[in-house]
Amino acid sequence: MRKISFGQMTVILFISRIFYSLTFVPFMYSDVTCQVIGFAVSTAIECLAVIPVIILYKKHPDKNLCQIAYEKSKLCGILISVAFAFAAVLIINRLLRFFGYFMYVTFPDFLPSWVVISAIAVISFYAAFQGIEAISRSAGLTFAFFIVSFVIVIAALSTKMSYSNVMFDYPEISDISHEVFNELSKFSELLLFPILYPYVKEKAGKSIYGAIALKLIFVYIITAVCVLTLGSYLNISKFPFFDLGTYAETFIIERLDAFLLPAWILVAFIKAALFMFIGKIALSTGFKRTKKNVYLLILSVAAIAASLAAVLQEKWNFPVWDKVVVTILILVLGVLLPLVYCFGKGDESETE
Amino acid sequence: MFTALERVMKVKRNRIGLKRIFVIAICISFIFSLCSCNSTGRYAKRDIDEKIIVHALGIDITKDGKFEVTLQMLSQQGAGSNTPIDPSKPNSAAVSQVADTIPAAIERCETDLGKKAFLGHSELILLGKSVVDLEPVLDYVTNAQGISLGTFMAYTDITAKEILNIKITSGAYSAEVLKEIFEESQKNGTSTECELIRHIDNLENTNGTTIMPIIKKIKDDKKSSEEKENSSSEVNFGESKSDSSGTEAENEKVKSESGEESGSDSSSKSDSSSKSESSSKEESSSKSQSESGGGEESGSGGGESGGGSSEEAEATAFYIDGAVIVKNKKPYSVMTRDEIIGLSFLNDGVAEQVIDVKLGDILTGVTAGSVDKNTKVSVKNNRIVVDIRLVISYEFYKSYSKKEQKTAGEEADKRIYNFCDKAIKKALKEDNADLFEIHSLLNHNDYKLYQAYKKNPEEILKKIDINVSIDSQI
Repeated sequence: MRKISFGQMTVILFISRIFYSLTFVPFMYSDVTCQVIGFAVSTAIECLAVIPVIILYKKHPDKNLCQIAYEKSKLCGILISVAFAFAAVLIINRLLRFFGYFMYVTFPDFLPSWVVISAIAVISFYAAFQGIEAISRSAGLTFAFFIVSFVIVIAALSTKMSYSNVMFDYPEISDISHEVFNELSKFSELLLFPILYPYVKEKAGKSIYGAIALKLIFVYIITAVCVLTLGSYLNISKFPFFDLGTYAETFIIERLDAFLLPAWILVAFIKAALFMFIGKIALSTGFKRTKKNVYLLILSVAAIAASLAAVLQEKWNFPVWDKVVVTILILVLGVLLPLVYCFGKGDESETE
Repeated sequence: MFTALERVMKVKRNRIGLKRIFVIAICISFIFSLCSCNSTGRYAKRDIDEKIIVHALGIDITKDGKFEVTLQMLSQQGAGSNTPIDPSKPNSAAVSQVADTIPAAIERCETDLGKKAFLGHSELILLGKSVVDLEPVLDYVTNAQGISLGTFMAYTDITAKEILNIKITSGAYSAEVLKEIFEESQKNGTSTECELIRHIDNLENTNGTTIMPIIKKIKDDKKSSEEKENSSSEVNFGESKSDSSGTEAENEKVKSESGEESGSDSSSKSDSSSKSESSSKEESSSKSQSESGGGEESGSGGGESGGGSSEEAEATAFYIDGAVIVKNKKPYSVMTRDEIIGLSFLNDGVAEQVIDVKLGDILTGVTAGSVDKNTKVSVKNNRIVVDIRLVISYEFYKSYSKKEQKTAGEEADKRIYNFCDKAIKKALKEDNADLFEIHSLLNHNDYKLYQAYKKNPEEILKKIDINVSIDSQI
């Protein structure tokens, strides 16, 4: 098995998480105060939620959750594998639809959304086909590109930020809890980690904490820049982070949205590739007879077909059940099951 | 043995490489076939010369309540680009259309030119004095695809169409010139911030209040006198409640040029600036020009050739004079230049404003620049007191003694106090408009007052007193 480094794992988890922070509509439901508190609370919960997986990793460093379950009970293993694949399909579907909506809103006459998401899906399929090493290398490049474009845009906006744009509100408990739920429903990396940790050479536990810390830092920076620059325009903006790009200008270039768009596409591609990959690994653990890439094909076709059906009909609203089901899957597969399996006896090659 | 193993490995590597190339080729061909299967309809491929790059968008309301939209774009044969084709020709062209809604009017402009308008490089959204409700305009600009948040949005004392039809034959195109004028005016405090995002932010926070600078064109004396003769009535922006006395009144009153607002639905593709000085009598002649002018568009990005008429040189410069206070998303009254300078000192700070002061019998200029601003909010005797302390630096263009500098600084302080007083009196006392970021101050300093402000801003604004103190640095 080809393994990746601790840093690469941190980067791929971070890239996967940051997609939602780039496309999210921040103040649609609550104000900045609730959002800031919500981020902190959800991050604390996320840090606690990964503990069972880390214990599981320390006990079974070379086996993913599906393999552990399969060894304990074949039926359970198959069911968990199918659940992981289903979760992967839902998340890819959600991702592609979200990206389709983004293209539909920001570039309505450029290319049809379905063409863009089909292209992303094909490239993601290829990356998943190549394996985790290829994905992590691409993620490294994406991370570098993202940081460069992010820094350029923020530097260009520095003169346009004003504290008078910040408007505070007394936080309501209901708003904060809503925000926390929202954030947790986006924490799909809790599904990635139990499948991907055997691919990390060392310090897999630290990599997820590193990704969470990076996410928190970037989310706070994005929120601060959005609030300080856009002010109350945030209330009506569909994609505030992208709007920052349209507003930023330098001596030479009038709009910097062109810097953000490629980073965004790359982030979407990495996330889709990762979930296709974990779906493939999960299914091949549960059903060992068929070749892995056949599962990859089935999974990708299912996810793309579902998202294309929605995008072609221009159905952009996500049903509530989608969010609820994804959140439940994240909690069950990413927290509860690792908690159940982490009480068993560990492998001989237990890590420190 | 070793070479045989190497050979096997090489063959295996080659196979993997071939397989990879094969998959990449399939992916690329798939993506290209996806892109090519959408070359019609909405997503039809458009070359750059099939698009019109709009630099400025003008909006007027016709007499029958329709929107007249003017698009100013680059005329590729003219000067202004790096490789001017014909410097004698104007570098911008404009097209106007009338429709019930702004998008419909833009679509008609596109139909007239046979090209798609690209608004992503718009520098300016100019509103004619006839625009009495900003709601539909804001609704369009906040939802229209591509319009940058940094686009400037301002009023004009005539029609937007007239301003955008003025052409210059050197330097940058006129929308760029207008933008530079706004930027310079913001630096010296004679214009308020007028970026689209600032207007949206103000309108969202203050129950529909903002302030937009007024751009005017410099006219020659001959034309001005003709206009005076022709003008039959005087119209204000919105419902001005200010006193019409002295120079302020002159600024607040906007002379209407009768018949300038195109009341017809007909297309009026403009030719040079002949329409910029249009009157009702000229309307019919320019219509005929527009009809015959269609043939002049050859490959020019929709631009028409310069008219070369005597009127072209008549109005080639613009200036900013005052600003329109918008309340409830409607123009309410007009602030004068002095009031705007005061407002700029109190709000955004002024980079450099030359203030005339008297040193004995000599009149001299002192360059004042904002260094810092501190604000405190307190409640005294059921009044909300906002104390603003401005730190202003003064620079002199020639050397004076310390005593003279101090005297000049004190004189300049007095002038700035005067500007600030005028601004406070006009905006807060007369018009009860939140142009001093009161909402933000209350939110940051007294949350209960902010909540009261949110419920009834008018009532809270009546209770506000602003005290200004200046700390001068020479």
